[in-house]
Amino acid sequence: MRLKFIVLILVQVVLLAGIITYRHYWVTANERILLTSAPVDPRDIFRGDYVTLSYNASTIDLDQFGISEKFKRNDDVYAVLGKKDDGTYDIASVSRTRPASGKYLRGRVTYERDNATRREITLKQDTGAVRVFQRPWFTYKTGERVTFCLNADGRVMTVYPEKEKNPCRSGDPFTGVVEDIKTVKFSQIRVEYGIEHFFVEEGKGRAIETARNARNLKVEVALRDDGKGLITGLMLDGKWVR
Amino acid sequence: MQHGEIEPAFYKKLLKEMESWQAEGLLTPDQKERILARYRHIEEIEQKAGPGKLVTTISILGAVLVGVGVLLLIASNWSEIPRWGKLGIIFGGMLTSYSLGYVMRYERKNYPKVGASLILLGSIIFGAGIFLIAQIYNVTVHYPNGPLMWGLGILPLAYLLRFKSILMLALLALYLWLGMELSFHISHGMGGPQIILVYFMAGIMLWWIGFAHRGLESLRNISGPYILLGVAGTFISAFMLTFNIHRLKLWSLDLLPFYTALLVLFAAAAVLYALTGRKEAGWKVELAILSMLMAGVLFLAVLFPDIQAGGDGTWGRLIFNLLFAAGIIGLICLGYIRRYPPYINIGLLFFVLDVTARYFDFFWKLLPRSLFFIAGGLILLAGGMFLERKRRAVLESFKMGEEAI
Repeated sequence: MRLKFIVLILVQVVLLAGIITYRHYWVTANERILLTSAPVDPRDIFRGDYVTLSYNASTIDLDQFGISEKFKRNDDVYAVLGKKDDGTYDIASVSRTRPASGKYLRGRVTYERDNATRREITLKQDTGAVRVFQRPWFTYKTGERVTFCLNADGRVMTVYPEKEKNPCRSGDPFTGVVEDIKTVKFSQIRVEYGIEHFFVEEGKGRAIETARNARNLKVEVALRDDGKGLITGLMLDGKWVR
Repeated sequence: MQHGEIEPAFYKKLLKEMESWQAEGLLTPDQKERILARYRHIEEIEQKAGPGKLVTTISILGAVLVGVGVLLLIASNWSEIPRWGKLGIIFGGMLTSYSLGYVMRYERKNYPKVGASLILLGSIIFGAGIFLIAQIYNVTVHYPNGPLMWGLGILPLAYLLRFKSILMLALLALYLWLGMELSFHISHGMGGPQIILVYFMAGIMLWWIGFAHRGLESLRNISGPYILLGVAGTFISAFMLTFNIHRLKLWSLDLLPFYTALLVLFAAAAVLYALTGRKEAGWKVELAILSMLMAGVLFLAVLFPDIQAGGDGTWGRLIFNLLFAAGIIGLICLGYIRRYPPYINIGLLFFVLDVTARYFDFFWKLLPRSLFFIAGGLILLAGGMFLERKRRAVLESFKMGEEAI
């Protein structure tokens, strides 16, 4: 009885130690890359002591990558990564089959939507410059003057009527007259890669979220050859959180 | 049998039995006194230390509180405690708890109940350890593996020590794993009803695995958690299926491996029970109905994978409601035939839940609001009185029956 008891407890110790060994092997045997984190809807970012991380490859508009095939929930999807000038990686293309070479993340589809819509808004500045922006929704009408606040990638973060003074707390303002609003229909998938959560101590989550939404957050991932990643640390304003 | 192994519950039962033996002339007052003298120390312990069940309850509560405390200690001091410190608390806490518990219960035998609770605490810390280590190292790959590892890790311990508490914990962890794992295999639409149906099958499987344990003398004392969780799981899932969810898909070929595995385990338990051990009254009818339900789900899932109730799902719902009502009556009848109060209690509980739910479903729109509440309240009060009287009468008849035998 005593021996059997000890053996069973040792099995439990081995199982716990196994998680540590598994992670250690994963991290040491594979290359680590830095991914840029994407902003998240602020209503659903903080869950307990987890920081929820999102990437440009987390929500994929299939038409943007020229994909017409349909995806189902739990289907495998591969986000092929491209290296940017600052050394970080971001989504370059999407594939249903495993790419033969290069770096890629393997994820699973958690949600698919065939009838998603977005607005394509043409904005004309007083200088005559015209730019087309994309928004999931848009409540203004043609002819109205608005200010778009753009992040570093040139994406619209927020929209304000022009009369509001200094509306953009972060990002660059782009003001003009709405020339045209088009509704585009497309298919969208939401993908989970297993690198969406990072555990931090109580109270530290807010700072990381703010940085993430301002795009100062980079995620270090130990990437296996089969595209599965494991977070090894966060780089917050150039400082490591591990 | 050594006196040390006698439980207070046995002593109480013995006292009661001896009174009836004495009344029937089987036992003289002198014999009764001599027998009681053998177990007198149990009464003394009960008087001095309080009832055994109270000690067990307090110890289990203590184990749970310490477990939660360990988790909170680590969570709230996350940055102050270095990584090795956190690991030290997990491994140290688990091993200390297990070894102290073992020594108290089996070697020194001075605090058997507290010892048992400490071993339970070890199992809780093991589970907490899985999640904490995953957090320390940010291992978020396929999270259903967490409860799976917990359940499978402590299950052998429950069998070795014959601990119902650890067995219940293991079964709950595995039940939780099942739902989490299923969500990774459903490819179309709302998965809720499909998961409920697998839980329904899993409940029936556990129910009969419990019976297989009950049939074997060596495992009989740990059959309770299987039967309790099985019957409760089956009826909770079936109760959910009586609501208006029949416009959604109930089964899918994606889940075929789960249906098959549950059916195979159920069949193995059924064969084991049929071939060995002692049988309960009415077991053939019970097994036949449960087998039909299991086979029916598999049959419909394989042959009509895409079928959905047409229109507003009224027919599907009606059939499930009739089946559920028949199930409740069947369970209460079985409880009566077998003299098994848990069946009667669970059956009556779901009877009340079903009547309440259907009253709200069907009459909410039909009656003026005030009348609805007054009528509902009166029905529940009258129903409550009727059920209470019926339940008492049934349980009383068991006792009388036992005394007459």
